[in-house]
Amino acid sequence: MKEPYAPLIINNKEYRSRLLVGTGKYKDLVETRDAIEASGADIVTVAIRRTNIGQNKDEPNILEVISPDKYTILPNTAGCYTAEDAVRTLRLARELLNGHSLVKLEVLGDPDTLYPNVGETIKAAEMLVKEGFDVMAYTSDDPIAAKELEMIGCSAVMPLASLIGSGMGIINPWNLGIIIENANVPIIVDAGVGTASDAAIAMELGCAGVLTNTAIAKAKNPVFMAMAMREAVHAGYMAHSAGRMEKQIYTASPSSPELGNIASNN
Amino acid sequence: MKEIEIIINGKSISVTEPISLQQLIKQLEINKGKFAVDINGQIIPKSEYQNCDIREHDNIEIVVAVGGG
Repeated sequence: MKEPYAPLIINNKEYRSRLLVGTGKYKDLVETRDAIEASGADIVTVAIRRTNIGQNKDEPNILEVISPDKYTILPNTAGCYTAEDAVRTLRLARELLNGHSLVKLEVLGDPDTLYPNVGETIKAAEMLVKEGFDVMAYTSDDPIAAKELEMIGCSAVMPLASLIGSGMGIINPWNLGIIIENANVPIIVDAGVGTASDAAIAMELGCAGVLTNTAIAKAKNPVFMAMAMREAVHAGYMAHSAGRMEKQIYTASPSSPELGNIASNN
Repeated sequence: MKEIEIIINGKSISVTEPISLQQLIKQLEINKGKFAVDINGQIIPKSEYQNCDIREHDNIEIVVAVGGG
């Protein structure tokens, strides 16, 4: 029997889970660890920040709790507003992770909306691909920008569903559909997922995966939401694989036979 | 022996020359797990810390991984 589920492939490497998760906004590292584990995610994002010199020497580091031995750690460039800063950050990240080259690029345009600056993202992506990074690029849901990032050599393109941390879900499924239709690299929805159904919808549209952080971390029970997301991504992928029925607008089609109905005069 | 001004993580501090990056890291007590360093935008591999001398006006970034989306 054909297996309805297949692993996510990025740059010829297989990842069992199509759910990618972030590690921000949790109340503490224990909750972070428990939620990440419950999500079943293989790829887990972290941010890169200046170390606090002279402070909190005993505080455990995120990588002690979310180990690079168990997970594929995906460093991001959150908080970067220029291509230069993003590239510098990822060079540091690659060094920090012992040469690991899979990275998440995000270059923001505005601190209120955290909307991506697509021009700077493209500039950074070009530089990073030349330096041998495997770039997963966060971007808007502009189909032209998405294609351009793919043509530059990004390993995956990650269009937003809606604003980072907004939980608004997929506000423009049509654009996402256009991007997916034209893509030759994995399209992984990133930003704005709020609950399990958003993730399922993304997968039903044909996304290769979903990245979410706030939806899990800010749920009343993050571990439960992580479990829900895991199932939603799986279910959405299988529904897409199954090939859904056609929608019939304003037309009903009975599911039970019409003949032999005792209530009729036949 | 000379006092020099350098910038570490955006803050200006004075250190006594000569000092290697290895010695500076020890002085700052940076010992918690994985971190990475660049000086004036150039990544310094761990293997080079001992051989890397800090110079006046060096702009040093020392980073770690933290929780993020």
